Amino acid sequence: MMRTLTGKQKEHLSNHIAKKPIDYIELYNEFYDHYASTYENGDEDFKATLENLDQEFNYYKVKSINENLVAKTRKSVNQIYIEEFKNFWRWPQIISTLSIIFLAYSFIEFLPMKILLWYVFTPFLIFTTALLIYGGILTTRKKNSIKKFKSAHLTATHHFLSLPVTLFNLTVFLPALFFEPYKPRIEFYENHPLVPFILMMVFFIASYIGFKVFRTKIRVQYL
Amino acid sequence: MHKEILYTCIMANQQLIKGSLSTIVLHLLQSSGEMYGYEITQKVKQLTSDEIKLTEGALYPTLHKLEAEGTLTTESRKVDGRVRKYYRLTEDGKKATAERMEELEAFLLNMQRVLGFNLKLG
Repeated sequence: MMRTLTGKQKEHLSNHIAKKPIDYIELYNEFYDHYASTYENGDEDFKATLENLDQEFNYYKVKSINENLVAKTRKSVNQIYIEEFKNFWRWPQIISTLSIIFLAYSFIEFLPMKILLWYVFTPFLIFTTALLIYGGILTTRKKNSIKKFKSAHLTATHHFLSLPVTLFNLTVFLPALFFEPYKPRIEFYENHPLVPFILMMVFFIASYIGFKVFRTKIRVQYL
Repeated sequence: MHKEILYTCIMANQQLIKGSLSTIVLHLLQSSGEMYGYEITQKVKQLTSDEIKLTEGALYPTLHKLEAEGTLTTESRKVDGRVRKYYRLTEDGKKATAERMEELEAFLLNMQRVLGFNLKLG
């Protein structure tokens, strides 16, 4: 019969892994599972299992894996973005994608810009900002008794989610607040509907895929 | 003297494994569908009757690199109260595996010709 870790062993293992130069929850979970599986499927005692694995997972190797993780995770998140973007253009999604584009463009041409700003852009903005804040809250909550962990996926997703927020701030909020009267800006958007249309598409794609990454790659690490 | 020879053999073996580690991982994932890190090390041990031991310090960077390249995709699930990360091939990964296997087979056939040993591939 397979052995299982006792509560005390789980706590000891958790602290043991946390003492290693690991910053990210993904790596912590992966190493924890590896140590636990090795003990549960092996015949060595708990202490010997930890000592044997520590020879392989030594300080320098773990540090190097940890340091490379964000760059690698960013690449894999980019892959998800590219794949999802390609999915927009696959048959039969082409019809739905073109419909979305047609509807979005029609909205921008026919709806007053004020309504668009408050009822279309702002919900997207709230959604992307909420994802960022929610991820931040989860990060501060996820800790074992001696250490807090960040999420490599959340870090890698941040720059995509912050892109639409930054665009919105730079093109709408900041000019309206500090640099020029609000009305000419609205008129500019109404005369050049392609600009808000592109903004809206960036919002939509970044929010949708950010949510997808969050749901599949980040959520399970915390919940 | 024996210890030195044994050490040299182990090191040479490790170098060979290091060079083909990603091919081993890709092939195992192709046959098993999805696997997690510990499972991969055990499968290699089992298939080679304990003769080849994948070092975890090399396995995990390889898995992360393949994931970053888009060859592998991952899914984390809760198992026995802990998070387990499963790796599986993407569509691009399936093509890459077939290419790597062909390359390895051609390489081994060439080595066979050059070194003159008798190797059966199949």
